[in-house]
Amino acid sequence: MRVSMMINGKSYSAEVEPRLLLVDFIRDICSLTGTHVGCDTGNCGACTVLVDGRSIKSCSMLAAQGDGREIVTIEGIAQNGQLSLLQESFRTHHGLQCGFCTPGMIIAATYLLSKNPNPSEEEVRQGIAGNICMCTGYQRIVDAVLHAASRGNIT
Amino acid sequence: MADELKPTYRWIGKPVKRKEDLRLLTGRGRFTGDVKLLGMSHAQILHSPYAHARIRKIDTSNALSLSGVIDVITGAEIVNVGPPSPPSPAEGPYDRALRDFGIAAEKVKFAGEAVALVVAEDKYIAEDALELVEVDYEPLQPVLDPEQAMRPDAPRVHDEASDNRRFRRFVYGDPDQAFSQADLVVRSRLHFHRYGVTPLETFAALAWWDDSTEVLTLWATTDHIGEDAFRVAHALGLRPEQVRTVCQDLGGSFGNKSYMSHYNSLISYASKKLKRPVKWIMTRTGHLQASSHGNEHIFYAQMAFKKDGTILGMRERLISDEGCRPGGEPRGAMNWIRQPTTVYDFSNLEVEVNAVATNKCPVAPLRSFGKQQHCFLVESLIEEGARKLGMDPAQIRRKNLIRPEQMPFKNPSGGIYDGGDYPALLDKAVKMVDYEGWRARQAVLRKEGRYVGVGVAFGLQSGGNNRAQKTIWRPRAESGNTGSAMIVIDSEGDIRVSVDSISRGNSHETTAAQIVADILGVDPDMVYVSPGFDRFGTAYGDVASGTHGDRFAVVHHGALLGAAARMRDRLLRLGGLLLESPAEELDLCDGKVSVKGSDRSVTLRRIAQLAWLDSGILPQDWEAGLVVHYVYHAPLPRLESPEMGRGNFALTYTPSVAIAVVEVDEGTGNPKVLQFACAEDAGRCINPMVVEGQVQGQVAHQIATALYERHVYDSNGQLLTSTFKDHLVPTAADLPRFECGIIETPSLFTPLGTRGMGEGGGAPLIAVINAIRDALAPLGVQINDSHITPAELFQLIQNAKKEKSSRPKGE
Repeated sequence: MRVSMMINGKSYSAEVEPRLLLVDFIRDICSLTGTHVGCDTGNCGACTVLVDGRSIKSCSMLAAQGDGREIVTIEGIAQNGQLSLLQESFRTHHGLQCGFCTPGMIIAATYLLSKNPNPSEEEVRQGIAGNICMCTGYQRIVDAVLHAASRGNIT
Repeated sequence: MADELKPTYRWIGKPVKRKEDLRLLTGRGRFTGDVKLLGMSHAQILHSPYAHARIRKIDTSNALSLSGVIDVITGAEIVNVGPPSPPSPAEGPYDRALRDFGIAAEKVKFAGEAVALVVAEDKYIAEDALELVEVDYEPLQPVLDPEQAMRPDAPRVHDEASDNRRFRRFVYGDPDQAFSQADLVVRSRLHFHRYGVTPLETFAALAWWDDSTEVLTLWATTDHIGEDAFRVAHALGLRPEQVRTVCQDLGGSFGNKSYMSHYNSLISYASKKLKRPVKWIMTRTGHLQASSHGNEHIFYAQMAFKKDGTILGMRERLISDEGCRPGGEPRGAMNWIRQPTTVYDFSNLEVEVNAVATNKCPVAPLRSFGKQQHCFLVESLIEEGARKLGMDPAQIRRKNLIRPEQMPFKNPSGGIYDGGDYPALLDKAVKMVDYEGWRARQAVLRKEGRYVGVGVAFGLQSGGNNRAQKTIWRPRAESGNTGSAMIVIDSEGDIRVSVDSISRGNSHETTAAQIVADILGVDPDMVYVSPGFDRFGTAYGDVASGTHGDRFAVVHHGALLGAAARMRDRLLRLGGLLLESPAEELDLCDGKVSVKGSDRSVTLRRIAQLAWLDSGILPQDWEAGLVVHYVYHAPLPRLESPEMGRGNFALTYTPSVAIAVVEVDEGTGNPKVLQFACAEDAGRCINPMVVEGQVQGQVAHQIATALYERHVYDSNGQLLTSTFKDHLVPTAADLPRFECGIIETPSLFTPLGTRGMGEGGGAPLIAVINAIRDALAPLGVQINDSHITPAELFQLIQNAKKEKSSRPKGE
């Protein structure tokens, strides 16, 4: 079947098997490898992307379900080579180590702040609870998100 | 020496922002699974559903007839390439000489072991084909309990071995006399649980046999990226220089990715056979079942005390469940030997090591490999001693600590500690949590019927990786290892650095640039550090190349420093030629060589041009170009007598103290961390932001080890925890906020005073367990495990209450 969607403002279209996962469409067909896969059960959140503005685990959605939608992956967050406020905050707070969870984490936190621009620490922790990070212990990620929120409009 | 140098450092010691971040934050990292090659095929592994079974027959015909399937490889095929099984436990050749493809030929030894490899045009087809491979198994009795496995009538895991057990006994000082003088002897059976470290990136490999050059290129998620080139070469009958191992970004490891060479050999074999690139990404379930687990240890132990709390000696019988792939030395069961008394000053002990094979996933390193288990033992015995003697847990530890004036301290097995102020570290942690304040509050809360406990624990992490420890079991093993760095300045003055290491989130690019920038007098932004490792491109290193055992802080810092110092000499000499001044009158800073006290200078660019392009004016006997390669070996003393278990088997010894305050809910058994602090003596920090990040990760990881992460096998040897829904890893919502304090007592032995850090020696885990022990002490609850769930705590509380109420009054 033919599937078409906008990813990071660019249109992609391909003939795919109905069972193809959205994450594989993004990684293998569109070659946007910033979106990662860390588990098979929807637990880890490394594959999180925005679908029509909502954060979605792209391993738990078919490419066919993405047909006609607008998707933002980690490659679409920085604009014209400029890091977003949140990305910059991750950098200054050392909110990443190996970087494998980071794309999903940035997307999840971007979504959180789009819904709740002034979250409490508890709300940040709940907001990124669908994303696993094994390196940082989360503290600096939470600090980075809180700092970005305190700086205002993050998108 | 390091201290005197400090004031001159401009970049070392600064929280410089990371070089790695820009690509990782924008989705431009390149992990192994991201690499694509023309004509690439996709492989999937069929994992055994049985823990122990003979393979009667494998029928691959249905799988092969599926459209898009290229090949199905089984152990029977590989037998013809070389013997597929690991060596017998009793004696093995050098690890790297093994022809080991990690695929079962005649029998499977754990649930999850590879039995077939399907190669197909895409990964979906490969997965479909897995279901079409028909394996006829004859199930055998699995060997699961390590204590039962030691019995003479137990079924054998390895048919060729006479026994499931390897055994050694080590004695230091005079334990008999120590115990005869004791006022108190505590005895315990302790269990350190099996768990898996779960880097978010699983194992992955992409092998490409190039028939033109006869070179195999292997991208792989392996910590031991140098050794794997040798292992794969031996497995495939190639020369090591025909194998190019590559890894740019590694998605975490924590030790888990130390041993994956058997999978690398398998994927490489497929590529060489099929003459196509073959890519394999392990599923998470595959990874949890069949990557590696941490050491499960059972201890029967005793500790002898004087009335005043002085430790006199320890006796230990260790039973280490090493799963079904024996290492050259019992994996993780010998690391205690670097630090048998950990941070304490006592000299009499006896250790019996039983390394036992079982039908479970093989064990491999994980954070504080073998050290956290040993520290758990020592700290648990001290905790029990304190309780019996009525002493404060912090006080009894303070009494027995090695004092700073004893440094460098030689421990009973010959380990030489590289400095540090252990009492000061304890004082720091005590202040961080307001220990005395909590003790006072605890007394009040107890009267209110609340179960709040304060747990103190020391960890010691011996690192700096001296592989010589292997010689205890294998006299022919290597007696040490090195680290390499290369610096190139091109004809336009651009500086490129590479190290025979690999970063798994440890920020090597950033810290390497800081070191080189300081020595060459430039800004770290001017120093390009090659990301990751490429055996044909980065600094050529020895078989130990890669990252493991805190190597970077020791041998790689040494190599970077050595290479930079050589390059500095070259630049000064060449600059002197242009400025017509002797090198000793010159300075190297701000990207220039200048004559001291004058305004005459020459840029690096001009010097580089001279070295590369103006060889016509270079003196005839000067080397042209600007390339420096330095191989550093750590100043380890000659081993005493490894066969007797004596020698200095590490270069840095990093102490940590953790203090946890935990409340256990009486009604649900739920343990809640109220406050947590960890202090670590990391030695000189090259980048304090990075060090604190590593230590925070260690704290979170070990709190999770105590309360969340545990692998459970059922009575058939099935792993019940083979997804992230069952092997729990904490999320941001599960973990408390905690405080980390770093102190920097320079290491006496490393070139910059740095130490391996961010492993913790188990201190955070043990502090949590000790806090729970302390919380429930009024009920008389005994906790002998390194992991505990709310349900188990609830049961222990209920049992203790029943026992209390059934006891006659007045007792």
